[in-house]
Amino acid sequence: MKLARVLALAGKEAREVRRDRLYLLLAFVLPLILLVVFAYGMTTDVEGIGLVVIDEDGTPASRRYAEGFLSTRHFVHARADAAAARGETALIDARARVVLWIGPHFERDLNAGRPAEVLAQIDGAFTTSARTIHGYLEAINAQTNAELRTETVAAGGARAPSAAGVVAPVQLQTRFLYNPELRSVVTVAPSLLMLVLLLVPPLLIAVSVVREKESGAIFNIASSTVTRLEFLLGKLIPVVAIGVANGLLLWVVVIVWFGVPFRGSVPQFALAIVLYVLATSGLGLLVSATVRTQQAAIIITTITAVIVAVQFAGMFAPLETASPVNRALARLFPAADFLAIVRGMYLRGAGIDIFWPELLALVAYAVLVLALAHALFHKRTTA
Amino acid sequence: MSGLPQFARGAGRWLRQVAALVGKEWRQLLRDTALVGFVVFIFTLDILIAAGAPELDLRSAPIGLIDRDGSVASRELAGRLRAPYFDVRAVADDEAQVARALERGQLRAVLTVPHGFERALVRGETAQVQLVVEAADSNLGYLVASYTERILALLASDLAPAGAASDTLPEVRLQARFRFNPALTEAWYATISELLTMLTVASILLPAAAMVREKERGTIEQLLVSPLSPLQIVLAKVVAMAGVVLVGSTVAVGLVMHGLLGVPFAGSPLLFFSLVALYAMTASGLGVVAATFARSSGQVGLIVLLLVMPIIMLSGTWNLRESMPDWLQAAIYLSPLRYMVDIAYGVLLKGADLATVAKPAALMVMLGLAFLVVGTARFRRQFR
Repeated sequence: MKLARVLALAGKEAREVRRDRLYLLLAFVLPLILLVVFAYGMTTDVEGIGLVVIDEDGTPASRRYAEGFLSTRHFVHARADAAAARGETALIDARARVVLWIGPHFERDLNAGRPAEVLAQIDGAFTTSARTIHGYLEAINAQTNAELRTETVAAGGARAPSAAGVVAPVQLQTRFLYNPELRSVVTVAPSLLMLVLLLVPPLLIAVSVVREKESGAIFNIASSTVTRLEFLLGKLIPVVAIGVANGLLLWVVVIVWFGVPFRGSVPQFALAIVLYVLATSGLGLLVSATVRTQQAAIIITTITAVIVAVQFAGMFAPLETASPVNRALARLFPAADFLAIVRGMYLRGAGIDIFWPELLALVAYAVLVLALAHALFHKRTTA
Repeated sequence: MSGLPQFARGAGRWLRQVAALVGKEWRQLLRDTALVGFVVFIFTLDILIAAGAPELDLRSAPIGLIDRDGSVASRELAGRLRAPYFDVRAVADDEAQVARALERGQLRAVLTVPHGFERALVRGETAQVQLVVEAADSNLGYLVASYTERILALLASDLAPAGAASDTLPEVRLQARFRFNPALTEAWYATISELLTMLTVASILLPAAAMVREKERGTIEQLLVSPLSPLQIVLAKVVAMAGVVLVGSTVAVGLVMHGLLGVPFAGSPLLFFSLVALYAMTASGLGVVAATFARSSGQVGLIVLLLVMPIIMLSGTWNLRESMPDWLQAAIYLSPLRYMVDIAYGVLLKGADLATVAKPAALMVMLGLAFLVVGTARFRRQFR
């Protein structure tokens, strides 16, 4: 391998990218746009959820109970006539996610010291949000209960040895480390480095290799003294440079724009970004070695990235809950390791002493995928 | 002679030409073995993989317990913080060591039961318990706190002194039922989400990439000098790819999801697949529009990423649409998937009929027509 030839090829690639203005613009602006839009949109905060109330009691007590939910930012009143709500059409056509039914004896039961029953029908089609919404409903219900009890005790309605103990027998003081207000953007924004760097570099490299195959320009390489390794490195260097530049840019934007603190070591995280971009670019090279058309290259790299991000990264849900087969498949991709590093280094300030296994995994991954791509790549295509 | 038969003959020829072009698209696709293999994969194996997707819940989350009370009640509490949600372990009462374990991710939370916990419970006083949660993942952090709270409340009411005053105090009991998926079976949700995601990516990307390929190779010039109108060329691409996607989703829903995985099919199959076809054409229209902005495959790949990723991530399959900021909620009205999410979950899981999904379906079709008009107009302008 001659370094001069690699550099010449890399220079040619860089010139090509520079001359395609739209492409260059997209390669840098796209990651930023995706980051910003996702950080705002991929929220798991429970806010503004449509709630239909069927109040069959219609007393001050029942109205106050319902208001307990609707006065929070978590729920908003969804308009639905009683018939529609009972027939659940409000849930079916997705106008609301919760139908709250308050029975006819609500106030009477409360005053008589009997438990008043309330039924919440939650749209279970979206399992993840159903669970979170359930949690919020219960928390608000518990708070309403505490208020009711405090008032009753204060009014002297109970002969309790200790008023406080009756109102709240156990008090759980919870402190959330690293994300005290539980803002989902703090969790989501750093994770987007994993997603964006999984999407962009493989697409760039796969298209740039397959374009030469499809246009026939690769025959120039085939008939030259340039080796496969030199050709692939020439392709790899500019794309990795763009990918790493993107990664650094996103890193800063997450800190400055979204206010997510970075508590880790800067050189260690930079190293992780370089390794991850090498690994994902290698994935793109692997695709390019196996397809003939750019259409196939675009579709396969994009869809693979989406599948990996959604299924095998642990971005939406912890991987421990996945099936054993899926956990094994997740090991085939670098996303989960990188995501663990990103979350740990950003928020918890953990370092290489903790994440050396993940970093080693990234190294091994990058080496393996690049070697495999090299083995599968042929200068002479059958197309 | 009257003009009607002549018009019919013209329309027949117009349609036959479109059909011929559709056939050409299919033949072209079938010859790309890597692509065909991948399309088969996304509608079969990939849906199976999605059935084993992770779910947002706690599974043996490691919780450290600092038990300063050492009583029956605190041991009972440790016993209740158990599988499947928690994996409780005693940890040393050492702040620095605990902080380190949380930072390393070895513990998700630490619960401290203070001295006098049991006494307070038995006497009917308020027992204090401290929980420190590692909330780098805000969802899991919230779940840890809310499950612990639930377990503690139950323990307190079980250990409360008999005949306590609390029995006569007002209490609202909130019962929750999950409609349409009572056991919250993750596979139902995950496979539908995955199908919608794949449908969207394939419907937008296939025609976009096919279109740019004709531009790059110059074969589009041949089409333009043929007696074909731009509308016919655009329509053929849209119909061809929508057809592929329709066949794919029939296999995915009928065989894999309903047949193999037991995902319910509550509504009408005819309604569902008609709407899938309309959706595929709408999304393909968007792909054609995207292709008119690109000159090379590299460009179209990036442009499509810019469109596809927000569409699949923000339309309500993977996020809570209602919780997005207003400007994004407004923007997502331009996403065809926003309507298809309501339609697909509605028809498959909730048994929605045509009347219920008429509104999203109508909006989706209007969006599709708009894409077709813009796509054809831009296509014509580029080559005339």
